[in-house]
Amino acid sequence: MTVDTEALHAELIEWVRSWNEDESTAEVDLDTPLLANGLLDSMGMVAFVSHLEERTGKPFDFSTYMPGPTASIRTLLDHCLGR
Amino acid sequence: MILDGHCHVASTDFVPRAFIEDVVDSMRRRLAAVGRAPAREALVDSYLAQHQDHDADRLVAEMDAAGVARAVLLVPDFGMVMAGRLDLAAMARRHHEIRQRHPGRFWVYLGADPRRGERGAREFADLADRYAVDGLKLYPPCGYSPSDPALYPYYEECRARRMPVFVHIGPTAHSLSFPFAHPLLIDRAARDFPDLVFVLGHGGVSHVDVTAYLALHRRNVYLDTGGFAGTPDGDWPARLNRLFRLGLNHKIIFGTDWPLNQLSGGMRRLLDRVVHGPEVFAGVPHGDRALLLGENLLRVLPPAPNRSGREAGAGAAS
Repeated sequence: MTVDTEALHAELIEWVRSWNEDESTAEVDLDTPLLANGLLDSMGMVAFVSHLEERTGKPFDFSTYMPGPTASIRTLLDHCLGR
Repeated sequence: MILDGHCHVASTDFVPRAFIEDVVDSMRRRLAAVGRAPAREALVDSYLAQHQDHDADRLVAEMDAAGVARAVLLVPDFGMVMAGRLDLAAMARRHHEIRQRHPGRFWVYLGADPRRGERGAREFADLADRYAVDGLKLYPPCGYSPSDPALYPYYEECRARRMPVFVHIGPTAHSLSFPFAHPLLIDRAARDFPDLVFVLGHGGVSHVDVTAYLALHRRNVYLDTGGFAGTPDGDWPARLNRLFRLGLNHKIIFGTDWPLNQLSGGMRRLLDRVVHGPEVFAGVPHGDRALLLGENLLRVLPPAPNRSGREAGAGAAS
């Protein structure tokens, strides 16, 4: 599956906004810390990673993923794409 | 020094697929309610992929990042209700190998099920001695009370070795039996074995009104905080703070229930908020922190200095 990264970036930002039903006051961009800013909780992370896998057609490699409070759309997508 | 009294090796060698599927179904129902449910098989695959840390290498990396010196590995015996890859003896051997791979990082509490009878108690004792096991782990939602007399031979073995008994309480996989997970069911056993320590797993999270008075008034009952960050509303620092201001900090053992929260920041994020955040220890006497984050656990572990390299215990049930 070919991934249009720019379009996917925009879609993922919109996904996070939509998950928060536009109620969060935090700005969302590619580098916004999703956990530390309260944009995603554990359930949101499950949903987001599942969405990433579906959209990229690649499995998320949990064996090499070290989670941290700074996880962002960019770091999660890059990890999913193996970059 | 921070010690974690409640961890599991995130491995499909030790966690039955049926248990993982139960967890997936619960998560999927929650996601479906907000219109975000992924395909079930995709979610099962994702959870299975999160349980491939067969040698606990990733867990040790998490502990290092979080400043956790040592942790208890719990090995539940689901074998009577859920098919697993390994039997109890093989799981005990594998956890022993994990301890050899990561010296000084783990204690191990091995599972049991009273329906295995006296033969099961003898096997548990043999495995405990062969692999220097540090405690007994019970999972009553599999279908038995922790005060079932069929467990008493196991308790005798634990008493002989001064090993604690760790008992799951509260909700769990939806296919298991919740009534057996009520904390009051420990009372008969706690009275019959006053010199045996019982740790109520998740007792700082579920049924706290009951676990608190059990811990206060039964000298041999402790509770642990496993799963404290598993609640969906994210308000766990305030809840932990309330727990730590109930006047029973000498009976609470800190535990994370790893691999819970591995996607939501991991152990480092949890420990950052516990140790350095403004809420969890607000108004808690400074000396209590050492009890909560390690000393209480050391007090309940068996005393033999060479079992797992720890110093003699101080008689937790006396």
